[in-house]
Amino acid sequence: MDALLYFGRFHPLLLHLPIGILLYVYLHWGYAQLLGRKQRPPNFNFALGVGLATSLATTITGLLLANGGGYEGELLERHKYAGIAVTLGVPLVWWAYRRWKNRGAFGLLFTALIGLVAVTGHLGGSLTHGEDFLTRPLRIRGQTLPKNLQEAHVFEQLVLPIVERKCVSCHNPQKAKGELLLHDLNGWRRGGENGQILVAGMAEESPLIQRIFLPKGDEQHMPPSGKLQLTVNEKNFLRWWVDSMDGYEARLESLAQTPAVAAYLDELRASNAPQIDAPSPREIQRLRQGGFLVEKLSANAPWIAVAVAEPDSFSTDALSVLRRVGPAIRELNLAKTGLEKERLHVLGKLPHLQRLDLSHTAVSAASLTGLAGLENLAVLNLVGTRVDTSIFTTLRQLPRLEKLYVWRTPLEQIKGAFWEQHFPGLEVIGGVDVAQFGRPKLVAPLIVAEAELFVDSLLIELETKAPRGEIRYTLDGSTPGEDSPVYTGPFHLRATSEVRAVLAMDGWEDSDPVSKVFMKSGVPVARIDLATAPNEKYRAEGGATLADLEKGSTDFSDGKWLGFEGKDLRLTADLGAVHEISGVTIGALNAPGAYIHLPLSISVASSVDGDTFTPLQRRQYPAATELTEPGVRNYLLSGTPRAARFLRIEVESQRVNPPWHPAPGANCWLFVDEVLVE
Amino acid sequence: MHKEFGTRAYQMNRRAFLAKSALGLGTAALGGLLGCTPSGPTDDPAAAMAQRLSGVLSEGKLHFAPKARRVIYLFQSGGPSQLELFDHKPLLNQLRGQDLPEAIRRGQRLTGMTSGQDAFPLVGSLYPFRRHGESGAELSDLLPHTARVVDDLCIIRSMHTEAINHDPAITFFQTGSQQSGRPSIGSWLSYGLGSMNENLPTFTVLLSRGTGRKFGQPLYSRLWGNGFLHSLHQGVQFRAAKDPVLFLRDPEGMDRAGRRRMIDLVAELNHRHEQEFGDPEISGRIAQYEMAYRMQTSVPEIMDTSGEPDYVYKMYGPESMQAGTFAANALLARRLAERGVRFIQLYHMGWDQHDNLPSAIKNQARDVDQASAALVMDLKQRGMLEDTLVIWGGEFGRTNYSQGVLTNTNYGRDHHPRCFTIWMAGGGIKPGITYGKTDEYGYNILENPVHVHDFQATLLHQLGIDHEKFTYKYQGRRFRLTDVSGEVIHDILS
Repeated sequence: MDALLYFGRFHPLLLHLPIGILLYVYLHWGYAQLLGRKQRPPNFNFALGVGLATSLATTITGLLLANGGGYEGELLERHKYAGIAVTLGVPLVWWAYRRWKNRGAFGLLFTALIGLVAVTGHLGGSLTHGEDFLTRPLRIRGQTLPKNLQEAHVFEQLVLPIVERKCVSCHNPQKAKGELLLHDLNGWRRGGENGQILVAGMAEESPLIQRIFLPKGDEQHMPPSGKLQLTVNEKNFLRWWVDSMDGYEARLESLAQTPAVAAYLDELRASNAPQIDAPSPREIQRLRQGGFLVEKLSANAPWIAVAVAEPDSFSTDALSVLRRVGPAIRELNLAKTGLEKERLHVLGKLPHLQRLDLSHTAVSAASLTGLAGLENLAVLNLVGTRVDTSIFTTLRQLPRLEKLYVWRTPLEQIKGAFWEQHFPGLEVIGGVDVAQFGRPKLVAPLIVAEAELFVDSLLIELETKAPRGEIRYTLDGSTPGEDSPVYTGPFHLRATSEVRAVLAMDGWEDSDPVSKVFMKSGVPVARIDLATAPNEKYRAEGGATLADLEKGSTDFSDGKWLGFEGKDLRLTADLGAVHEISGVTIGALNAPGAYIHLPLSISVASSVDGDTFTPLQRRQYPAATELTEPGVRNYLLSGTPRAARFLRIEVESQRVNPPWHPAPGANCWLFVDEVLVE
Repeated sequence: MHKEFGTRAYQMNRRAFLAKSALGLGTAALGGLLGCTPSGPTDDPAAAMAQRLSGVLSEGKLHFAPKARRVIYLFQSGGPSQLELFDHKPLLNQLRGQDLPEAIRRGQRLTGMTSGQDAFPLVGSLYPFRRHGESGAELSDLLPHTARVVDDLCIIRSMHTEAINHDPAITFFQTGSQQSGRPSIGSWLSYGLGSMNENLPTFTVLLSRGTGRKFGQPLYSRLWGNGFLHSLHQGVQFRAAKDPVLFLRDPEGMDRAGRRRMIDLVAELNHRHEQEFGDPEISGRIAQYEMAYRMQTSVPEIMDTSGEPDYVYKMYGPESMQAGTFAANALLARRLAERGVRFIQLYHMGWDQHDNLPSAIKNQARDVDQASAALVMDLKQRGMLEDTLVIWGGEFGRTNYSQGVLTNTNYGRDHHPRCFTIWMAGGGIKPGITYGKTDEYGYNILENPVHVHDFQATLLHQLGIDHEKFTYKYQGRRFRLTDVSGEVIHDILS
């Protein structure tokens, strides 16, 4: 059975042979008749023999296909008998030819046969492609939809046309694939071989909807690959229709609608819209010469987008060039041009304009009255213009306006409620309310200098990127306030100082203070004794490293740092002789990623003889609470000036990594370099 | 590129020769009759520029009417945790510390960083979530400013990718292939759509480093490479330094007129060379010299944001005054978009929070939150969001279990390719929706998965390009950005 059907499926291939051969023989014979008897007639015996053989093969395969191919109905019967008649007709014509040669009776008979071939072919074509295959293009165009689509019958006028174009060629009484008929209401009600195709109100449960939403590659997907596919909007519309289904009689206006409906209606309107000619290359060329940038929006539509090439030098007269291609203009961008108002009635000549950008031009409401009546205008950008409330009359005559941009226009003052009341559905977009960001805090300025250690003096620069900011600073480590000096330019330091700076700007919160210690080497340190031994790997030159006037970098392994693992540091510095001292600076490295943390506290005590020490200062420092970038920090400790030769310094380490560290509790390091005395 | 060189100069076959000469003679004759001159190569640098300006799909060859004209891609490099930012999973807080069930993991391949872990303790977000806007989109408290613009965003919670490590995953997003060597999205667009500004590159790149994980993954300049496309289409990086584009400044003592003469002379020499050898890279070279000359004035103009009013800095946040921050780059992105740059690619590094996630992600989110939201607001008030597509997202998500020790206040998350969140705004994308759904564990996608190729197909679709038809033949194969798969996600288009 299946093997027979296999042969049956050769029918659509074979059928073209008898049609072609018989038609050719007929034309050749007719041509010979026209030229007169002298012309040698074609070899009828052979030609009609082949014609007979192929029409026989076509009939046999056709009968096999009719038995199992899913075709039924009257049309099939008519096609079948017409085909058999053709096959019988060929030997008859042959017989007539042999008997009468070129007499009229033969000619009549042959012509009748060709007529029969044409009828059979047409019937077969109707079976395959649907009965209205030929006439459909004529019908669809002229199909009458109500002017107000909301009055349309959903099933009959909106759903059925989709199905007629894309489904009925297989699901009609002649072909009835899957025993499903979609050409009329009865078929929809009856369903197919698998039962009902729709569950009213439940699109997701409806086999018809399920199938059209399957991926294209899926076997169950409808329409099958190779056939004309449903568009996204059509699919979404069908899904909406089933979801909100209320019998087959409903009108569109009686149903709750979603954006999917609007999208489909747009598509429908577009396909029913009068044909617009795409601008010719010559017209586009003319626009370009007129100072416009022209973009053709897509390969299969006439629409163009037009913008001004050089807004600064744009002359309003140039607008008149637009008239010629007016109907094709979808988008027009005249932003930042020196438009003059009296010329703008050209805008009324762009019936299909959807987006218009007039931002930052001198247009006013009066110059835009020409816009009234533009049926397709959806987006209007008036940012930075003088357009005021007198535009309302024009706006009321823009039926499809969706978005209006009014930032930096007099319209910006109007409340949202007013718009909602008078222009329902219009989205009005104003400026951003900057107040919602509060008084943001400024970013601290940068303190820039060539070095941190100096002998005589050092040039300091304070930098900020804030264009209108003001930097205040102090040199004693106190937080800058209202009466602190304002930074006006680079200045020199002549003593060890902690520079502290704050950035201030109107309407902003002051920045966090930023500070940096710059150290003057006042009294050379002769010798340093370490009471705590540094780690083997980071001992450099021992105590001398701390007094060599060379600072370590942010790289802990540069050989200029002393590293101590998991313990505090104690040292004694010998100045070689008694000096008047007032402060001590110690540098430490911060590199949490490498387990190196800053000290928790530092204390300094001084002594004249090396035995009795009196405290100079002790300071505590808060531990960091998160991972930070490597950096060097200098600690300045100072007290009342005094005479001293020895200084005892104790630096308290964090000893173990803090809890927030990736390796909490592991031994950590203290890295120290350079002790300076002033 | 080099294959063009070969076929054009030496391997022109008989058929091509006949076609070219017949057509060439024909059009030349016709042109003569109609009184216009046939267009052909000239040694005019402006003509070389004109070639650069038009793409293969411009002049009415786009497949659809475009909804977007330009793209700003705020790439969040490192893989932001969807679980702390966008995808609320209360179940993870309830099951805190319990092992990830195998029924959920289903054999997912893990990175070498957690594949050795004995247990995979589930962990929920430390940061609470709230609903925002009319759309009621759920966002974490880490994104207070993004919360203000949710009604303009399309949040896609069901992104998924194939790669589990940074470089292949970013390369996949940018080029459609995990292996390097294919053109980046911006290069494809430059090739297809051409430029809208003759003084700036079509494809620009801005980098910033976050405070979340300062020493995280680096990026490679091949991510904005042109692959097999002509080198005219590669991305140009604008740096936050004295020289935004390297080697652009004239040496001391050289004036503009002198530079102009030099470029014209070099162009003439190059053109002779091109006629001799026919290598199309030579005409590219001519155009690039010309572009560099124009950028000598256009780039300083665009990088100098000091003329921006105070309220702009307030919107983008204080860091927008500090060159090289994400906020400053977001502001620059808006300036570049205003001037018609087609594809503006930002990269913000530092989202790779394998450990210490709670504190790191807080800083990292602060880096980008305000400026990202401000960019959307700013584009919107100017009317530019209509045709500018803004994208925010990383290369993959993060696991629902902790990498390393889970403590009360601390945990980390490893890379997770099976689901993550990105958002898009403008450019014809439906605003105010959340698309796709993940399971209660935040591990697998339940509804509407969006593959990287689907994302790319959708992006191209918004620019008027059918991703299946936009190809480039190289080494005997036609290549697409979406390789051999990808479906446009129509549900998120407005």
